[in-house]
Amino acid sequence: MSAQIAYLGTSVPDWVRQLSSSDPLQRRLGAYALGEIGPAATEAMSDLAATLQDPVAFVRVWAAAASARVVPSGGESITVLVAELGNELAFVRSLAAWHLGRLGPAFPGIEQALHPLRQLAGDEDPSVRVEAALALGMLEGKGAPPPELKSLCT
Amino acid sequence: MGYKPIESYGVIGDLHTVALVGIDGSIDWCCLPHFDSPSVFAAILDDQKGGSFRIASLYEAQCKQMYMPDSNVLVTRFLSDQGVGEVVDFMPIQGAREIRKIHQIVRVVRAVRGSVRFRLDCRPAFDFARRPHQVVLEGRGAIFEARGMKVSLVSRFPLGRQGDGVAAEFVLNPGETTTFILRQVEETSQDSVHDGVLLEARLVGTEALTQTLAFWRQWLRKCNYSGRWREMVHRSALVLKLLTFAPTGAIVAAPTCGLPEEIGGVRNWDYRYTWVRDAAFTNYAFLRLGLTSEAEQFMAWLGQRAVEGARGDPLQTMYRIDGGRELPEEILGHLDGYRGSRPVRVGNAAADQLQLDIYGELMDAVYLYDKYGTPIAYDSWRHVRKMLDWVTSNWERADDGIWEVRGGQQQFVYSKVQCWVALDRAIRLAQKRSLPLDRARLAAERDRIYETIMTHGWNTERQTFVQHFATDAVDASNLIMPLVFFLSPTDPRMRGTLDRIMAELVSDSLVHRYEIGRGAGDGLTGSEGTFNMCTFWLVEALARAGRAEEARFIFEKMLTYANHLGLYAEETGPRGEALGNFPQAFTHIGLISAAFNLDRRLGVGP
Repeated sequence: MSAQIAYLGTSVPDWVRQLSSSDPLQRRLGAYALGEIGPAATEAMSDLAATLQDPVAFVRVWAAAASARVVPSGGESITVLVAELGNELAFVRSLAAWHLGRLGPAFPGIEQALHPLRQLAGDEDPSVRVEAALALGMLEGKGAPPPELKSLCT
Repeated sequence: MGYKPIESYGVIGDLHTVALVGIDGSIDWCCLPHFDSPSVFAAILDDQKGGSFRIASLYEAQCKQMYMPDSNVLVTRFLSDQGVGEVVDFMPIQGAREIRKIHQIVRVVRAVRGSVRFRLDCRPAFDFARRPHQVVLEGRGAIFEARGMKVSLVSRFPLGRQGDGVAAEFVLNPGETTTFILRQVEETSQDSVHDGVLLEARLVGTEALTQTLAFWRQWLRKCNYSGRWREMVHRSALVLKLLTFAPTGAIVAAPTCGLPEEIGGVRNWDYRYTWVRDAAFTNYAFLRLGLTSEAEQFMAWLGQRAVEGARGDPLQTMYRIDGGRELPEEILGHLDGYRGSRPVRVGNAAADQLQLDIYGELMDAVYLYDKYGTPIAYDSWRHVRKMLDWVTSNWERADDGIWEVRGGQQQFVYSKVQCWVALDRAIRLAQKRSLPLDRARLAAERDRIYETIMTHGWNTERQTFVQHFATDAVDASNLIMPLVFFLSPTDPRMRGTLDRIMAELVSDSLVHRYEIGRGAGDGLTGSEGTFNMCTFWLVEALARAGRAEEARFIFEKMLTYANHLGLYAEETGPRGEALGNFPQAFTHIGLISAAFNLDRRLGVGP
């Protein structure tokens, strides 16, 4: 598929504007959309980088994941995601773990995430433990499909 | 968006309602919280306004669908050069003791080979697209709020607003899975639903899948059918179970309304109710397969209706699934109708018709349940007797007949046959259980019905039973005669009728229920397809008449008209297309009964 220059019919500049919204959900959506546009949204990289300092933790996580898709060479994305593995909010920890897993084993610098992910095996929150385990499965190249879906794997 | 063929849908459900899932991954029909509630998605009735919930690969893909084995868990597959993606759809079954009634459509999306880019579009349209709603985006998804109803969509990926719906595109890596949940929580007067409940716990999808699969597999294990065509029989049983309303045991005739019997035509009815006739036949099918708990639940529902009937007024032809008697018919003029098939009707005016046959079908269900399930209780028997008194006093009346014609009442032969069945089964049951009954009076009345049919329902010149006493037209419903033991399948009169029906109503092995424009009219213009149930009745009648090989060929041919998942609508069109409401209980009942009896006639071995 050819590189897309818009997401849901909206182009890069409009999504960049969303990053300045007062609504964190809109900032999250803006970051996600730029990530989906991917390398064609390089012009938005400085805005995304600024969003890595967003006051809301889940926005930072989504911005980090998006940055990794726009410029897949790593950089600050891994650092931010690993840092959020220690966030006080369980859903932010599990979100960060999920995104790290999605980056895949070939992503530059991903190895620095393995130890902190393993540490989450003892997390008090079950969804964090599950996400960390799934992420480790992805990063170790095993994948972790649900048992009932295994039969459908080729 | 456009309309897909009716046969391009699969069905999932939670024993309260269902959703139709197109082979392109689009949910185009769902009423919440119950079968007969107003729709939330109705793109099958209006592809612009109706509302839908689609998840599909963005690659140019070939689509396939399958059920996970022995279940009503549906897998829609998208195969392309870039990768293979799947959407696993199901509705978790809630335990009866759960206080909070939650209805969920769970959609597990997965990349099987390669990375797959998907797009989600969810646009509900409440109350058949008559009630506007607000969209509220939340951290864990979105809430669609209309007056009196809220539905949430739980999503891990951020959703973007698109008009009055939401959308998202996302990429899944090989082996990666994500779950979307569309959720509705029934509100009670004391209990308003918090958004937290609507949007909770994203990881329940996989657990729910395991539990739902286990539910269906455990249920199907109770089925004792081991004859030929087992997979088709099992699929039919699974469909019938899906059409069961768990709280009352009622069975809907089909879970849709407005799907046309002719494309662009006017025969577009609402089948989301319980016909005594269809439900009694369903009961027979369940009992034949050893599924007695469904029969038990339905008999309790039917028993309640019989109690009402014994109070004086006869049974209604159909009821709401909660047992209610009001089904006012309404035309939804704002909807385009499936491929322009208008009008779209909800409610069903046929509820007020007089259809005498339902007493026979009901009594046959009572008789069979007594035989294969639980012996009838004395108090139930008292209600039955009162109902029989009504039949003996009313069987000579003209009625609207099995096909619910709207062109005036007639002395339909099928109705008379079923009145005979009602009295016959009562006499047999009383004899078997030594129950008190004025046998002599009922037997005399039963015999009078028999002679009346033989005298007025038989056309000597054409050597056939006719549709009603004032016509020489044939009707496929008379194929039921040997099936209910009204007369021998080899009786010359039955042979003559069989031959006449095959000559006049059968086209390429498929059976029209009657010849439109001849006999009783239904008061409507246009035509219709062949009636699947009648084709299965033909198979049975032929098998019982000793023409098993002929029956087998027609049956095997009929199997080819099922869709890719083994589902049937009410009718089949000239190009093999599904017509009418979908999937339809009557057809699947016919398949089960025909398979059972044909297999028995064919004996051991292939």
